[in-house]
Amino acid sequence: MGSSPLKRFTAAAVTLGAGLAIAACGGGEDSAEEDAAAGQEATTGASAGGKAMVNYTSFPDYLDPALSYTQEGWNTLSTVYTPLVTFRRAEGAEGAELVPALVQEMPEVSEDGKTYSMTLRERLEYSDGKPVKASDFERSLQRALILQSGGSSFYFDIEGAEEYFEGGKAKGDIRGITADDETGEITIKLKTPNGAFPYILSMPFASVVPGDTPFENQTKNPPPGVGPYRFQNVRQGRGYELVRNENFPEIEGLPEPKLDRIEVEIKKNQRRQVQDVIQNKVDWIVDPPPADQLREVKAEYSDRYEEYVTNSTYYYFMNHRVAPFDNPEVRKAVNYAIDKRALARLFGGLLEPGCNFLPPGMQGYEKIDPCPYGDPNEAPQVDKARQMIKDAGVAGDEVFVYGNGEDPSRPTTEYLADVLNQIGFEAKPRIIEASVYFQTVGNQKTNAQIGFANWFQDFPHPQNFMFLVDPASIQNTNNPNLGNVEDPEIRKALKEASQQPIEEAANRYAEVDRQLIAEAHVAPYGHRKLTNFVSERVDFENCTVTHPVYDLDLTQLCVTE
Amino acid sequence: MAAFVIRRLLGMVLVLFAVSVLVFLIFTVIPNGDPAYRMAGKNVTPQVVEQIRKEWGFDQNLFVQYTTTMKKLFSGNLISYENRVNVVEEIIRGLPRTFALAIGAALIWFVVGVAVGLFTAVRAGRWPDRVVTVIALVGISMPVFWLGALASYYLGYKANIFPNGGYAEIADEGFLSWLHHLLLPWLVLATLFIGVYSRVVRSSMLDTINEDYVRTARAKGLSERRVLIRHVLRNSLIPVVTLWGLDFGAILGGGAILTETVFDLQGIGQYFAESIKRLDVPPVMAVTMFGAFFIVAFNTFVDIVYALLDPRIRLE
Repeated sequence: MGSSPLKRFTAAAVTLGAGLAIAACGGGEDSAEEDAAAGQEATTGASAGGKAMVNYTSFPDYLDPALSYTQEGWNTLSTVYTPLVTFRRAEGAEGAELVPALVQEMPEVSEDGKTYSMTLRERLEYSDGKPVKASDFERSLQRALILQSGGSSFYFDIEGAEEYFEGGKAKGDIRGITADDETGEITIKLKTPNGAFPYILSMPFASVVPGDTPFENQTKNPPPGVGPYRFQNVRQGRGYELVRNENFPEIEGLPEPKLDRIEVEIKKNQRRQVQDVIQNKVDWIVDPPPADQLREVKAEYSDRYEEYVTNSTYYYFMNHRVAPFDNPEVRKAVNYAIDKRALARLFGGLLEPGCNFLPPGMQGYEKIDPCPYGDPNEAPQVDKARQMIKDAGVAGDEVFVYGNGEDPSRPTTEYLADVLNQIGFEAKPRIIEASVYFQTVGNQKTNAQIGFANWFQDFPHPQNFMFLVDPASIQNTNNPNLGNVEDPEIRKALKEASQQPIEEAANRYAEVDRQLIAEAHVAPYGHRKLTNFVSERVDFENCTVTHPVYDLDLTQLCVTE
Repeated sequence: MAAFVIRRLLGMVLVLFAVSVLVFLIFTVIPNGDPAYRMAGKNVTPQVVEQIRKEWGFDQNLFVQYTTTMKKLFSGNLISYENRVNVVEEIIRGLPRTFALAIGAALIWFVVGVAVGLFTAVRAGRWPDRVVTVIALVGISMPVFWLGALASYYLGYKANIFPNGGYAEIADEGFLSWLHHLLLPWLVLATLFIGVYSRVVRSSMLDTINEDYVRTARAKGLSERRVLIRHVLRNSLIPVVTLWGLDFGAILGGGAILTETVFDLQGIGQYFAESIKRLDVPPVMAVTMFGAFFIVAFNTFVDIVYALLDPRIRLE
């Protein structure tokens, strides 16, 4: 590679000292050429082993599987910890397939759908060489509950889990879990059948860590896990290293790691991250390039840049309990008036316009075609919407459009206010501080009429989206069903679907999705795209596997030496 | 004198107390600012929120919450609501970066500011004064984030003369690399202050230069250099030192938020800005107290030094 910045600086300083400032600039150009030459040399094919440098914009919320609930956290933790069952490490629909990880077979489910039985694989070891015990699973789940993890409530379906959580004492027992260290058998009993439970079991919160791990946040000194990598040199807030775990067993669906070491550095300036990838100092960045750099990246580095659609939905909620959106015709008018192409532009192009509420990568997704409100990639029907508002007798009504101050919420909120004004309302945006936004609009006392909403999956099961429109999830505070969708048919369909395995329930979810759109319960407009931008050292064709849950699979990243 | 010092120190404690109460109240009474909801994550249920409230004491009255927070702050056990990390440890981790930025930049702006002020004062009204005055005003007018972004882009990313932001630990990468990473942030941060300080020094020197004792010194036959340095500059520096003390205190306390952010130094200022964005009360409280301490401490120090130099201040 080219000379280091320090050497270049020293050379430049000496040159400047001699009064030859122009020569110093020339030195910079020379080194850029050297870098380019080195880049060309680096296209000779990747090999296993080696080291890669990865940048995150922020340090993961926790390096503790019981607590982490962010994209960065799961991207890393999925390489260090493994739950009893997990997702196959592959792209697209294949990546949403559950495989037995620490257990020998997928859990056996009883007839009534309430009991899950499974047996731990034999001779499993943590990265520190200690054996994995069946009882470690219960202790790991207890940690998540006692630490009041953001994921705690996912496990309240297990008998006794809610009581254990409320008791708040580490030494208690979760009644519904039995584990035999001798035989490795684990049994989980649920209060009610839940078709999504295997997916919940695969979430990082349920990753297995040693039973003696303290019931405290372990970010500073993460516990050993059963993953392809282990943590090394953790510097809170700054970075850490992932080093190959020599004790990682052979598990079908979880490939061996390609790199020996991955260095993760926190670089809060996204612009710098992009520049460093361009100059091959960094091999992959988790966040998309900022809008002003995106065009350059797409134009000049398309051979190492890609966009992919995430399992997410951006939509406007419309409160069924508050006028004028208690009128279905008004809600339909909003759907007719929204220009999804314009909204995609507000996302800097990183939005896939869509008509469905469920995202394309989700099981149960069936593209609604034709979309009742027109093709998402064509112009909206504003005149028709204006007439509908007039017919409904609500023209001139005052409407407050809720959104938060961050991108893309603010521009999409302002956009909607503008659209509502065009179709006859007196609309104004009402911008709320981002950190309290969902709390505010999810409080029934706020009476939020209409506003920005979005959701990124926790796991690839439609239940994880449908609860946002499920009448059963309406609550007075922190209401996830922001629009108070109260359709009894939807409620019944979702209840029944939730108790069935996904193979049987997928069609029902697709039906609910169609119903949501046909009756304009919500106004979805698209699904977020994220990006992979890698250095020239990365074998872009063969080593960038984008997983539907964990994003780029770090275990399959490879670089040239 | 002892009574004066005690009075000033008591005043300092009172100011810090008032700052802590104000900050706590502001961040606690923000509508829907209940941290229990934010801590409960995306998948919120009333049970989880209730349990967090109980465990973290958010169900207590404001007075108890305030005293608990302060107790934890002074015992070093204050925990962030956002990522449950010890806030005091985070500040200590950011301290070397912020101190390195502040001390280097403050030295540069003081030395260069005084030199430029002296240069323009002795040439007042002539073309070098006018040229330097325009340059100083340009320096004052350039926002740090703009200048920093330009410098980082052209000198860091494009020309590769400086690193493109970031901070190098001396222990990991050595002194030269540390210095190399800090030079650009120092120069950018100092640019604004150099303009201000040179104007203050120039103005103060022009006031002093016409004093009777300066004329007397010249009449005694002292060289012009000696008159300027020992009689004019020395007396002109009193307001400059006061100003420097306050600015330096503010920067030490995390005030260089923009510079830290543009160069991604990840010091206390950047930590503070991120904590405010997340409405994370514990770090906001801790960094505010930390910053206020430096500002008040330097202010008190300057007052005490003044009192030593000028007994009239003590009597007032």
